Amino acid sequence: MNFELLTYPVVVAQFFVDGLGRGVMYGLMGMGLALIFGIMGLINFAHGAFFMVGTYLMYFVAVQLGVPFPIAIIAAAVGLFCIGAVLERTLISPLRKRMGENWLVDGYVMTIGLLIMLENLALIVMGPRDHGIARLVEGRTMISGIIVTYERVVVFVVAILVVLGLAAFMRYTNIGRAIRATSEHPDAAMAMGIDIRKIYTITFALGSALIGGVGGLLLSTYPAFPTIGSDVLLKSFIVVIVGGLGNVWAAMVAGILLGLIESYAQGIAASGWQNSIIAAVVVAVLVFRPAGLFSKSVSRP
Amino acid sequence: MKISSLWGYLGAGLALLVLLLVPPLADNHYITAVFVSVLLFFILAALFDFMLGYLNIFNFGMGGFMALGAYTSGLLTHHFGISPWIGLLAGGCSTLLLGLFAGVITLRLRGIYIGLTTLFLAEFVLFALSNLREYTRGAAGLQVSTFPDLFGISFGRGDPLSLYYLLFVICVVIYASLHFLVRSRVGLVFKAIRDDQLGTSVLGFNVVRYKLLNFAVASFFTGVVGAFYGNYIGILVPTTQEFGISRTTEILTIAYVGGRGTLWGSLLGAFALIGLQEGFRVIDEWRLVLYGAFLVFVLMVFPQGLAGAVKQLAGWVEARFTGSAQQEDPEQKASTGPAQDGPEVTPKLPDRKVP
Amino acid sequence: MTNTQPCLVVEDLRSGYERDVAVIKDVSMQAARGSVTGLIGANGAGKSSFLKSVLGYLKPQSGKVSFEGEEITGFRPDVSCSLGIAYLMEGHSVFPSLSVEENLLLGMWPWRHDRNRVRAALERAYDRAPVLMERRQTTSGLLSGGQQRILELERLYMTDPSLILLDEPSLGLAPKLAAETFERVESFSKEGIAVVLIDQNVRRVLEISDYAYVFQLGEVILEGTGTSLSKDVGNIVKEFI
Repeated sequence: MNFELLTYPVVVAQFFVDGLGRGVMYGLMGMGLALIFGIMGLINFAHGAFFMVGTYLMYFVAVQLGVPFPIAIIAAAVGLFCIGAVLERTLISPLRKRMGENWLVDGYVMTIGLLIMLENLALIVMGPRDHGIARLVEGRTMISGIIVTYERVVVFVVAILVVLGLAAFMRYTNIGRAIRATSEHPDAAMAMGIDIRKIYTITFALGSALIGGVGGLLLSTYPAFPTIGSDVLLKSFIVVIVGGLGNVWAAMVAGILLGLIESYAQGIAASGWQNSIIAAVVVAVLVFRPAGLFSKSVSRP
Repeated sequence: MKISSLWGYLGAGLALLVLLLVPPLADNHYITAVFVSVLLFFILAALFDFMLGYLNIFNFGMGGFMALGAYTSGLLTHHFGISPWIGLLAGGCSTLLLGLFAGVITLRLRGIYIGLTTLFLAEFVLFALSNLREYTRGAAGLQVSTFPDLFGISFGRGDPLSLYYLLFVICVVIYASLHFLVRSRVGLVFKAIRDDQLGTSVLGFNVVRYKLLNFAVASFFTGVVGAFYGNYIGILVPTTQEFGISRTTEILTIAYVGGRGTLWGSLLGAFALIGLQEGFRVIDEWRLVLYGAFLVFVLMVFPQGLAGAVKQLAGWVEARFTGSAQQEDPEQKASTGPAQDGPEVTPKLPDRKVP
Repeated sequence: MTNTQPCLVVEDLRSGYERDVAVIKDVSMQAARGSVTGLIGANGAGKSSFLKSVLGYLKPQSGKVSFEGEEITGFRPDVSCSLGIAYLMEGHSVFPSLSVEENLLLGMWPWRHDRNRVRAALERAYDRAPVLMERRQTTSGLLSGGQQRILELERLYMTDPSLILLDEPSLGLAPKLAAETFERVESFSKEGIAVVLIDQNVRRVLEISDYAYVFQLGEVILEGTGTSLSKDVGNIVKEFI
């Protein structure tokens, strides 16, 4: 333990900036998972694998084809949108149709199957080797002694844009309204003439696109590797549970919280105990506030 | 009825015969090792299914539970020189406590929330084990001593067959206990709780007690199997592949492929998936892709798993055999016919015409 | 409207939740434009399941459903609803976390690309129910039960349906509000819409129904004009409900 460091304001501020940067990444990771869970009730265990596919897509488009980074990130998101749509239509939708109310357990076992397939396919095709980029944006600046890389700033701005964009999409577009309506009352949504199968497909594809794009965005921090997704999946789970399953905005707040905790914990104690502590915190949240840390209701699911 | 139970005995006899005779007849370390993993995964999947298939408890912490059993036994023998035989029981007991704890904290949770809680509980155990380097040696690995001789039989790692038979006995004991439980009144209550928790509690059953019983039994046996596994592999490393999500995923896959709610289905699942893995060693790297594809395929095509497919097949053969295939009784239309003594209002025929 | 062809014609409809178990057993009925068709019967008699089968929430096992002369048997609910059938399901059907206006906009989903039509329909709905105008930005879950029912009815009506299926519109409402709801239902039929009505209040249903069917155990055991059934309402209630 080294609390002495915390007596220097610059160090504390630096930890804060680092934690914020990291937390925003975790928040971004959790959003797709939260969206899919919130609307469909499905826990997507292939979430991390989708991230992995996103990093590879980014690598190919940006490095192999030499396309500018912003376009490559969008390409990764679009690629995952298509993959998500196809998987939902071919695998998840039939399962929901057949199982009726009880499809959820089978649904997440299905995504586990997807996860195993995708990870090992990546291993065969790409081999156990990192494919990454040094950084998205060059350069950094000092603000009164605190180092801020431009990359952090870019990720931060993108995160804000994604949160606002998603909020606007959900609020002001017909599809966004239909997605919210379907998650609240699928039968009534059908009575409005909404084809809820399409809505589920769009939702799953959108959640996949989010995590795919995030995979592209974070390629420099998380280089493409077949099992890179398992850590991402765990982090996303933590963020989504702490924020409240299915709550997209709270996932971002929980992500930042997690990033800050990790940053300060690592600054003070260099051991691996913060992992145990975070796991314990997650268990406590699940037991005492299953609806999430920030939800007003303490109702149990 | 008679014939279907006959099928059961036939299947059980065949399984026992294969499990008992093939490894010694093959007399080949590789075959024995394959059979050890079949038995290990079979019993772990059966335990997983005992929770999921009968009480809808999604224990996503199987790997961590195993780890606790394995480490309890390993640490006790390593630091205190306690016999690994006692270590088996000690591993079971410590895991039982973990299971009871998990049971108590998840009592009021449901479905995926139980799964996530057990998952992170197991992650906590695993992180803690790798952090307690002074005792567990962390990632460097903890040596586990072998079982001492018993009744003049050597259980060293040079004698895989005797270890195999030891595991066989453990599996028989566990399977018999689970089978007895699910076939008894307790099993009926389990199913009742699974289908309608509130209704069952209203009938006067103590739902809490039954849930904890399920957790306790499954966790104890998981710990015992974990302790055996530790002794079998000889060195414990707290990795995800050994004791983390990956391990749980494998167990879950086998339980699912075998068929939910049928303990014996797990044996089919274990044979199918381990067989698949070993059979396809030639195309080495593709076998795990096949593993995932097989899981997806079974979910899509055989929702009841291989056990369901076998049951269907047996039912079909039986129907052929006894000739009682379909006895479609004519619709009992008379039973709910129109009321005879209704008030005499307008006649029943529609008085409006469709042009 | 002088078109004599019934708006909804159901012939020998059979359906159920499981493959071999029929809950609705060969039910035939019709609903004419500009009239109210009542469905009455005890709880569990199959009235709601019948409506669900007509709309496609339950897949019919056999029989035929025609709407405006076109067969719609087994169509998905969202398709049936886009054709001009409006359905008020049992219980609550507002989207509670969406605002009143968002709920109304969703009612126009099949015509969402026709902005002028959506805007006009919205304005007319606000004209008819000023309370919705006042509270249009309110989260609809916060509305009172009566206001939610008004929202649901206006959301149905604004789509210009030719057939409205109502499942228990007065359930859970205070007597005054229930009476207003029945008036609103009658007004639908006066505008030429075919209305099919299920309600616990048998007397009231028979009063406003031009024609009614009595359900028991998934079958129609009695039918007749509203007035003829009304005369025997005491017996009907005693025998079948």
